[in-house]
Amino acid sequence: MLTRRGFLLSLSAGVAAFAGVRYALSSGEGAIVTVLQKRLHYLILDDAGVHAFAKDLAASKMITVGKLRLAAAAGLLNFEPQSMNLLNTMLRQGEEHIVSTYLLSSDFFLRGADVTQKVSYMGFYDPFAYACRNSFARFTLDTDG
Amino acid sequence: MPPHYDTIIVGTGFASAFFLLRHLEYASPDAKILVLERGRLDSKKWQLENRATSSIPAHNVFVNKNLDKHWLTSPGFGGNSNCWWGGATRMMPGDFQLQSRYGVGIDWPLSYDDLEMHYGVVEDVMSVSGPVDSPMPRSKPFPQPPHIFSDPDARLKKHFPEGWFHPATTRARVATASRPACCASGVCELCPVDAKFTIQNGLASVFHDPRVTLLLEAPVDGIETAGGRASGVVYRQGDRTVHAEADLVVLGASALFNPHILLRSNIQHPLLGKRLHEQMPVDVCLDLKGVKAYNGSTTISGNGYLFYEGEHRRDHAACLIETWNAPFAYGRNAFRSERDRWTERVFMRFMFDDLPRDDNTVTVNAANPQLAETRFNGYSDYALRGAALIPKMVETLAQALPIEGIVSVLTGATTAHIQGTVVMGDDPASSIVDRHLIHHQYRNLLVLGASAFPTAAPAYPSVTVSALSLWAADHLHEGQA
Repeated sequence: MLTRRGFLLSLSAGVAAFAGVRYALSSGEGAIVTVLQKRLHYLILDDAGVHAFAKDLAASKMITVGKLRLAAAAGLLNFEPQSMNLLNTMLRQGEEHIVSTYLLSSDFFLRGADVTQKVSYMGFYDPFAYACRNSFARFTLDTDG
Repeated sequence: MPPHYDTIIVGTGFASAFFLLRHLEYASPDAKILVLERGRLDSKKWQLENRATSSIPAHNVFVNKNLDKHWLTSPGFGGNSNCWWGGATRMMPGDFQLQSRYGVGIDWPLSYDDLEMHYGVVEDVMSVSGPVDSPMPRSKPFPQPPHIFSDPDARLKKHFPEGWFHPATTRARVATASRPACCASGVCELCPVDAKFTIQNGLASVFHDPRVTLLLEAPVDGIETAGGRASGVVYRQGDRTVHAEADLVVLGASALFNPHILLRSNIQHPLLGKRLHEQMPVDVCLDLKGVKAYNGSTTISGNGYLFYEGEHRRDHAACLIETWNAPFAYGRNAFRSERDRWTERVFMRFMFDDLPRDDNTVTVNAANPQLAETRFNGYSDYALRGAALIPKMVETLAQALPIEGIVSVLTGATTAHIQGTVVMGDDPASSIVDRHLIHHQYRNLLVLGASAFPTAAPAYPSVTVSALSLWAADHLHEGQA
């Protein structure tokens, strides 16, 4: 007869083993694709562009391979946005870093953040090359800002 | 015989350029002024092509013994004006009187009122954009209109009218003769459109004056002294060591290299090289509910003074808050991923003044004396006590902002505001230069720049550095005008 404690230990071991296998099998590029598909599920993503972005982001080394593999190991789990658990917070920030870089590298904001249109990858975001491509800044106001 | 000059100036950054600006007004038509710059003239075109503000890497000029703490410096013509972000806040009156007002730290040997007129001149030269109202007393308005607030700034201003202000900045609100308007690129250290004031785009003319000889790639090894006076400098040009004599020697090589040069010159003082400091920066990321950020007109779109001046300074550090308005660069998780809520997030930098510690130092590297060496053992307890209050400060901001949660609180590596190391004061026993930045012992030697700051303010130092140079030059020529 499996006790409650035994059950919980077995469950924990199983989850850890599952995550370990995922970590071992994960790749940086795969993790990026997974994160984008998970976090931006409501957008129509250009599949080839997402893979091209994943390749460019992994090559940029902006995010370490270890962090990417951790994100991949976390897989399709969805974290509560306001959870302050340290691991959750770290994963959420890492995922939003990937999402932010992708959105800046795409035409999404440039086309008015229209979720009904397919989002296309335009090339890895370079703030110097695209200096004044700021979709959010306002330079005139009807009333005093 | 070594060549003789009326004045030798070391460095071409804010301190030297503003000193030269005023010095030339007084200098005779046949004056001979030598300016020595260790770096090259790395043009804006070069900087953008090479994604660097200097062709000299930092490790070629100093050794940092604590890699967790960064010190940002940009050797070359124009100095740190090449890499600054254009923040042009004045210090608050209380910053000059920490001891007499709040019983902590030490007072500066001069007051806000002493510098007020000079601040105004600096702001005109730099074409500073700033608020119509102001957290500190001013005798005239800013030369440029204010930038546009982001929505979070506008809410904070509405709720805290005396505590939130448009930024004072040289990121141009409107184009000037030499600069376009800022487009909120978010990468201001290497502004892609050259919208911030730099010595190169705003004050290079003083170095082209016919009385001035500017030598680039001429690092100074030391100041020579004789008979209780500075007699000249020793510098290198290529493989040559050159001696040059002068009636007046002006060091304006930054808080890293002013003490380095003085130490190498065997000009001693128990405090020389000590009290290296800058503000303690803490970056806070907040999620908002229903308020969109990033829609101001410049990279830092607001400054919070709620926790700056006041009786709390008796116990803990004052704080200046910046609202970061650009979602670009530096690997930030700028956007939320939830649908339609991408920009409901704001990054703020909380900058706390630090009480300088004697064990944070600049020295001469033993293995290679041509390199300075920095040691940083930590911020003061005063600054740490201030930073510990960030959760309470966020609670106060929540009166104006619908804050959904704190995403992250991270201590930054630098504010890029190196200060201290050749401190000023009235007493030669406890300071190295006097209130006019004249060396207490060598009365024809001036040591300009933020190295003279006895304490740090939460405010950015550059306009104070520049105003101090005008103040020092005016004093030097008092009665001559």
